[in-house]
Amino acid sequence: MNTDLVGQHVLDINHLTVEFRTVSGWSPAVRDLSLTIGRNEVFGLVGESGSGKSVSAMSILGLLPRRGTRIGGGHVRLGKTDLLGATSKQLDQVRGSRVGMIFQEPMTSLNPAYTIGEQIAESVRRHRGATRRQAWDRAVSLLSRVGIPTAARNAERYPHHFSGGMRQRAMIAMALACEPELLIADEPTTALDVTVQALILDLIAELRAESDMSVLLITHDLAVVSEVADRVGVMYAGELVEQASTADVFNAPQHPYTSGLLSSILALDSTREFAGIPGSVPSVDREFPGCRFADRCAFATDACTISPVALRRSAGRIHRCLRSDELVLEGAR
Amino acid sequence: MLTFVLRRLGILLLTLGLVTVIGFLLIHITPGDPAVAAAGPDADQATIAATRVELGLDRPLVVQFWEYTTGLVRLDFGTSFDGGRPVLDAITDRLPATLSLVIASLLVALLISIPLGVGTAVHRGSIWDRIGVLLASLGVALPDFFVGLVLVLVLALQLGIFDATGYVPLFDDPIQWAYLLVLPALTLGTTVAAELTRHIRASVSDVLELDYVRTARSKGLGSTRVILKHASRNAAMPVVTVFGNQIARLLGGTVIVEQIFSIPGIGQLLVQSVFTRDIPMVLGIGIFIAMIVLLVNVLIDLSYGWLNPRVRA
Repeated sequence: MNTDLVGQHVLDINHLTVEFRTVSGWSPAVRDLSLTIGRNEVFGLVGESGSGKSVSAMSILGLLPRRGTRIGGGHVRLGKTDLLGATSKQLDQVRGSRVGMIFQEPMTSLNPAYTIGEQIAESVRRHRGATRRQAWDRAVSLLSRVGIPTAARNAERYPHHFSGGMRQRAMIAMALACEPELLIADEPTTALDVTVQALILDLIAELRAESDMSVLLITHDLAVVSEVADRVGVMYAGELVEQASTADVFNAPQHPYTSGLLSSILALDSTREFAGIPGSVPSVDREFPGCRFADRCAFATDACTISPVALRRSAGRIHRCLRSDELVLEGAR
Repeated sequence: MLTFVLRRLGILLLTLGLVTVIGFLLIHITPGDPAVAAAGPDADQATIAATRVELGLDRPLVVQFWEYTTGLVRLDFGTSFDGGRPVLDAITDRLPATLSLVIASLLVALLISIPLGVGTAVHRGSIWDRIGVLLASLGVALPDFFVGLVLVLVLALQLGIFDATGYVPLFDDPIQWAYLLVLPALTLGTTVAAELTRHIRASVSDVLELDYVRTARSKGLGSTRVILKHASRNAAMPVVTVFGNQIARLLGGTVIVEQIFSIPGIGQLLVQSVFTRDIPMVLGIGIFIAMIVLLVNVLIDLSYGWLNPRVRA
């Protein structure tokens, strides 16, 4: 981690642990997660479902259900604001204003009972104290900015009139309504057609370029990350296993899990044989004495299963693999 | 939208027709001779026969039915066997009392069920939720008349806070009107409140899990606004349906509650008319109540369009 950038971080997640209630008591779904996002940076957080990436994102804005989840430790700061210690009133001033969020399912993330324009405008009214007229005008111009045709007319329509791609554009307009410092995009393209995916990613990249907004992009798809992210964090079973610049992660991954993810996305357009990763992500209440990935790892040795592997740092990169020095892992070339 | 309304009205008329046929037949197959009742206790056979002819009961059932229904189309509900008063007049005379009771009961039901239902949904799993659910189950299980009798015993007879029975028209004395309605409205309203609470709780807690509620929270709207604006409108749909069914139940409940609290309403009139075998009155009240229930349900169908834009299309 580049320490002389401290102070310019928009988001600072430090030793965050989030726990879920399971039959065997409280189990960590996110363990000791630390990451920072700089001003105007796009940080891609990658992992399979169940790796804890969405849980991390939800906990930033306190959106996890109160029942059955709790923060086990650590802190999350947005600039100088402590988010985990914030009251719900303080959080409401951050949500939608300093941090905008878009979700995976554009089909269900908009309220069917209100017009698209109203759902954008209410955020402007709430945070900017704008009048109805001003807020509506802002909603229309935002819709037009995110590429909705005849925005003035479409603002008066309901979500069920919109296609998935249009809804996700509307969600983006809503998230950006108050010019947030940080945009959290939780699987923003997963539910969309491939052609629409690229357009939405382009839009996020454009919007980031024309402001000093930072982006936390959460996805299971490394291809998505490679298009827009500056840095990448890879999560596995609640832990960060690797973090580096996008180029480093793609060219020379230092964790076998990252390498496995890379090989599974590239199988379609390369001659290399599909490798993938055998097995699946362990459930949150499963305990491991050593490396949490060891039983799915082709390179695991006895040493890997003895004690937990701490994060290791070298040359601006972070990883959690005992054998990274001896292994030469395949990247994306 | 217009075709939707017209279709609903068509269904309403059809249902009303069926209610008339079934009601008419049911009354005529029940044992006992209305002419005997109308002629009085000491009447001899000749008087009874004369009364039968006078009331038109000697004619074939089909003819009687035809006369009755053609009258209905002109909003003529016939005349009472007991005194020859037009049935519709008798009903509209007593309508204000019943309407007062029904509206007051609905008010009680909504004032209890909305806060309780939403509150238990928001704090689901908490001790308050459990107490709320217990109360609602209790309210559903207890019959109207039992609740009524307990209320009268405790609040009226023991503590003397309320009068046990009676009714004063709204325009005679509004304060006394409201005061006298408290106990009957509580009696009739609690069961409806209990039923509504259960549905509101289920519906609101379902909606609170939905993605767009999370979106609303992520916009920093504050939990009150999230619940009142984003959750309630969508949660209202299934609740409104139940509400419609409860109207029918309320009108049925007035029969007993008007009896307990001696309120001169339609329910009381119905009970009297059954005892005197006043066929046109019983039938007229039945059809009149069916009409109200059906109309309320048409209004509820129309409210879906307002609640859910997808229905409007």
